[in-house]
Amino acid sequence: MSGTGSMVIALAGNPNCGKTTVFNNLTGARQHVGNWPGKTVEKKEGRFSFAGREIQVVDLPGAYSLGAYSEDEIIARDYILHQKPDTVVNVLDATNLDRNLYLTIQMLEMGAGVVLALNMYDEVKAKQIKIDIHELARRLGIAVIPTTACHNEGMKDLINAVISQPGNDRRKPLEIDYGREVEAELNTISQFIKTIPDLADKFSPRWLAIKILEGDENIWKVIGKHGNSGQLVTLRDAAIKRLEDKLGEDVASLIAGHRYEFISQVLKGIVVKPAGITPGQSFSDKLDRVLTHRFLGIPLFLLAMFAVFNLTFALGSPLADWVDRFFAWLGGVTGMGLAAISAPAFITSLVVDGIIGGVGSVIVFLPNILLLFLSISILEDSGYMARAAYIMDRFMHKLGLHGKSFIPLILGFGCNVPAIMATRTLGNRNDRLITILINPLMSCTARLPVYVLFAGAFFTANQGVIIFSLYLLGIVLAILMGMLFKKFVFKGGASHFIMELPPYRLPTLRSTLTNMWDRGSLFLRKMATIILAVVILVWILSNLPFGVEYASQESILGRIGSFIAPVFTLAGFGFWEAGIALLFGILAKEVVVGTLGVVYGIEEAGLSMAIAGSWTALSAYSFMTMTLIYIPCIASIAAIKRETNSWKWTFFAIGYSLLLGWTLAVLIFQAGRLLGLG
Amino acid sequence: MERLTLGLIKSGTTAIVKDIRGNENLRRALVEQGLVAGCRLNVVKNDIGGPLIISVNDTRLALGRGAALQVMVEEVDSLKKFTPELGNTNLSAGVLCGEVKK
Repeated sequence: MSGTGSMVIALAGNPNCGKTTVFNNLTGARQHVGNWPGKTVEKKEGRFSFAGREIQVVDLPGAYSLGAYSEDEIIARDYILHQKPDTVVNVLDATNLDRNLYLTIQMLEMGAGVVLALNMYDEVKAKQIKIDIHELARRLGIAVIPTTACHNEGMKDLINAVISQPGNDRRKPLEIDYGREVEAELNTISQFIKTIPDLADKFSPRWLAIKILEGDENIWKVIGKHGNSGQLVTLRDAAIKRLEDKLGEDVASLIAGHRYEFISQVLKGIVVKPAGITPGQSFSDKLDRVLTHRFLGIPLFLLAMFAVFNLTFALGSPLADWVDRFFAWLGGVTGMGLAAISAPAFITSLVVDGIIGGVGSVIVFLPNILLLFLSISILEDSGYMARAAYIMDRFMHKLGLHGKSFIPLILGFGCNVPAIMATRTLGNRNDRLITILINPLMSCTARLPVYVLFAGAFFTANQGVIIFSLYLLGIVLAILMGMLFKKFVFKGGASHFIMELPPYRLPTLRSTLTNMWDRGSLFLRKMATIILAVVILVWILSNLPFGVEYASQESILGRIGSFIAPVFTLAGFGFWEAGIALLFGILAKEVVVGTLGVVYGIEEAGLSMAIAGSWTALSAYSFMTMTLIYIPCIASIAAIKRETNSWKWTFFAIGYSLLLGWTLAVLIFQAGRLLGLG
Repeated sequence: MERLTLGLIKSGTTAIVKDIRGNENLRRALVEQGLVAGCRLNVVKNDIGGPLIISVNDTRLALGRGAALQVMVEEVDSLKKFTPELGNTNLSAGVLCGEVKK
């Protein structure tokens, strides 16, 4: 790729290799989120300039292989195959080349232009591993650069290697010797492919032949567009039968075995590891013996969760008070300021009641939300999240799922949208659907403002217990619904649990904060867009028709609320304020509080007094239950639609949660009344 | 040597994978993690019930019991655990899969 102008590079690598850190180092703040071609799955892109060139970076999903085992692998492969980036920067965990190169050589077989970043090179040195980088580059025929992304080292060398890469068209795909028998069959199939000019021009015939022999079902989507697949299937079936008869082994495993053998030949004499530590004796293994202990594992996990929630509330609440005071002050000052310049009353009302009252009542929770995301980042970056999945595997089996499904559920405490996307690592479609459908029951940070407001107003003494009980209720319901779905909707055996346990690492401050900010800033963006818009809408509706008393039952807002309200009479909150808050809450759950803020025309501090006039402790609890369960927010609904790719399951998710939420709210209120709690 | 399922191998034992049973999805997922016939692994943790932790190519893998039962292995004689002829890439966790195979 000599010359000037813009170029596109893609970042590829196994999970846990530090790829995201490389991405952040290269692009800094110049990132945005887009969609993959043909799919509506989130895609991270960024840009940077180097030596006068504009370079676009695409962050491919982490994958171990380019087969079609999971959605992530398909996305990564399709991007390299169809979008043909100028260079693929393959980030590797340099302490574990044998395994990381499995992905590399598959990209080389496709004919992609690859530059290797041997990442975590500081650990290579610390572990006294010797790697002959020049020889590795010579044997693979590609540039190899040592990097330590977490200390921002080697990035310049990496970019220099990338821009001095030869052009795409001059690269020859890597050819691995798969043994005489397999080679003969590969030859037959690729000869046939060469007779289809459409295919042979676009893709390496040999690579297609390998994929066909491997039994990769997804490859037919590539081939299918060009016809003749019927004959190819016949060819494949005959070839596979011949090979399995002759060699007595399944062809896909045979091919994989040869790839690993090739890697070991490449690395022979290049990598020297000290005899050092026997498996089971490393620091990680010793820590694992305690943290994943049969009996201690779960109590320790619960303790960690307790610590997370304590951090979120104990540290977050005083900070939230400051923000709250700030908005009370801002509201006062702005009101006075607007009066001083004798602004029209409706402007004052819009700014003070609408924007400051509505947005302010929600933004108060930013400290809590950031702290929760911080905790989740630490759990992920330290390697503990994978252990949590391991510990819970036994339990998850009882739901017909396995440990890997547990990670999206934990992420759901932060925000259900990335959590639903995280189900992409699950290979089995049924597992994925169940995990997606129960995910909204994990109480996300957006619902927290509602709990804090109501628990603060009605359960001052045991606020913490009440909030915790809602989280617990969500978990219990997720379990029960998971079991029901497995039993009646998604029948079939459990799939297998296979997951890498990355070594424990001390999370670096920078990566943890970046991670936290990535997620927390979404909350802020939501504030500035959807929540602000809804709050203004609510304010407008409370002032229409003209001349109506602000936010009264006669306003349009009050009329809509009154129309919905009777549905909730049995649940104890059959008044219009609750109805309208729940309706707008579908747009974003924080809006429940924001709407009440506008309706009562005050921000958070005064709001708890205002709601005490309408709710009782019992109806407050049934209302919180409803908020927890009923209808996922718009963003989650969109994520469910994208990831399930089905309207049926999207409507199912909406329908069941509404029904479940309403039923429980009614049950709680009615049972409470019978017990004399009302 | 006797072939056993990986599910029965005790913690601290080194073994060589002989055969992977089960469906295509399971085999594909195991291959991605470097588990192929001929590959050497070490059982780091195997409790009764629940998933195992194994070490393959110096990586720790959590492996559900169901999956482990489909992997047939031969135990390596403990005395021959780390023979030098097995190559020099990684003496601690066994060598690369392909090399053992030959």
